Amino acid sequence: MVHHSWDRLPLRWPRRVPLRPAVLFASLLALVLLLPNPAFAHGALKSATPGEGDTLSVAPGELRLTFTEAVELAVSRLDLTGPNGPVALAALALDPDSATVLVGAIEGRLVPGTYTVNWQAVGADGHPVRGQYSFIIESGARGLTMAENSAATQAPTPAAPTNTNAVGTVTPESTGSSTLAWLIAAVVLGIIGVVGFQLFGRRPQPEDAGEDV
Amino acid sequence: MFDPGFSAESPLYAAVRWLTFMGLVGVIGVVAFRLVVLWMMCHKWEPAGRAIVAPAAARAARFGLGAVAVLAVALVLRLYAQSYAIFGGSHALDSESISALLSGTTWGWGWLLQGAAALVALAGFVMAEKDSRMGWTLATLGVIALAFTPGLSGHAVATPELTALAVLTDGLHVLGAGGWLGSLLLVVVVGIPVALGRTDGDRGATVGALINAFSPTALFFAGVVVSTGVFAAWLHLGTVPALWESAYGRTLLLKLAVLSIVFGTGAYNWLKVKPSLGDEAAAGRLRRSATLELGVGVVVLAITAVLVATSPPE
Repeated sequence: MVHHSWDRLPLRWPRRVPLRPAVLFASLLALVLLLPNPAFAHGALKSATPGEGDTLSVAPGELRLTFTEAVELAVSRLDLTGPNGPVALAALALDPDSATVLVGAIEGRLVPGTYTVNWQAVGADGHPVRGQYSFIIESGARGLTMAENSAATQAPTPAAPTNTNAVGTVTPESTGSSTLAWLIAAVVLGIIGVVGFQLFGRRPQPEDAGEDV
Repeated sequence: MFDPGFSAESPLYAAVRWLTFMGLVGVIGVVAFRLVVLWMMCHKWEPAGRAIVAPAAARAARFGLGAVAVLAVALVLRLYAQSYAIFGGSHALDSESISALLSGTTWGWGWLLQGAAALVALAGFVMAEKDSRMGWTLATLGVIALAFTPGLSGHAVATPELTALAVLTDGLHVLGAGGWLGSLLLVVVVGIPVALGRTDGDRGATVGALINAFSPTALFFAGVVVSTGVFAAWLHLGTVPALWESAYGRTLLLKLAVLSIVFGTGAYNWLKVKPSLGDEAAAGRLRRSATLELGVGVVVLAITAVLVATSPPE
């Protein structure tokens, strides 16, 4: 009878299955599942000032939006649009006391009328959430000048300033960063080039056999 | 509204994440195959193991290069997809958008780390292909870093409590998945072909030794996947009913259902096919059933690509 070398290999089902540790392990996992835990969802707008549907007798100086999770300032956005078109906002900021509060100081002129806030917030997981809501500034509201009050009765001016936060808090200083995109492209092309050369650009060499690990 | 009509939940974005997971599983599998499977084979199943270690390691390194290339393509596509989802199609490729995304967000830091780790892994595989031990050390470092990058751009890093633990277990989950399915992939596309290509020994015995080395590896990594997966489920679901009451829970259930097929196929290989190993015909049967296991594993990765963008229940 010929004895093959694989006869010596332990290819059979092990006689003693470590059942107790396995059961203990499964029980612990099940116990963990049964323990309640405060889960989280993707971010959402929790509250805002001015809030949705508010009718204001005092013109607001800023938009203050509170989210259910910390937001990434660099890619979060706020737009304010009023009766005369977009209203300029200062660069967005986070409340120093809470990374869940996004603040946009209003720099543009306000007139009585209905305003719409468009917002986008991005959490640490990179998932953007968006929404919009409206509020109303009453005619004769405090904080509006006489000229601005009277402007409400005139035709809207199309040349309203563009919101500086149209693409987040990107500053003019960052416009020279196109080198980054080129660098990324070069690195990726380099990776593909190296891989291609390694895989296809060399002659196959005889492979050594029998070397230890 | 800022809605660009494209988001993290969009099928195309899910496809990009799926490609990323495929690349990750590939590179992790290469290192697990070389450092665990081949090591065990060489030290426990002589002389069959010793005979194929060097050629299998060299071929695995070449496979690793391919996996890094897949990862590199996925990396670029993921950056574009993320920029599109946040800034819209008209601003997605603006250098200002890319710069803000990469330098001002946790997601961006995770992306940069993934790129850097992919470069380290690339250098490692290039050196390893030339039979350098340092190459495998480099590749291992790169792969470990790569495993933790999904957690930096997903639910784990956004977890309000136990954040560090969530990122740690997410990384271990990825390592577990890559160590299990990835090393199985390497067994199928590298190990078995090299073993069957032997001209100087018993091919059937060599395949048997390979599978004997792979089985405990797969069991260990599958255990890591299960335990870290249960922890992540607890962290993100909150309660057991959320498993069927929320979209996240239902997607997770679907993943578990398909994953159970992978487990079933693996158990079949372990209990039925493995004991019959010994000749080339049995090796062929194993290769076919392992390929089926891998195919279902690819579906699991696709479901995972959807799951990681689904909002956990409140």
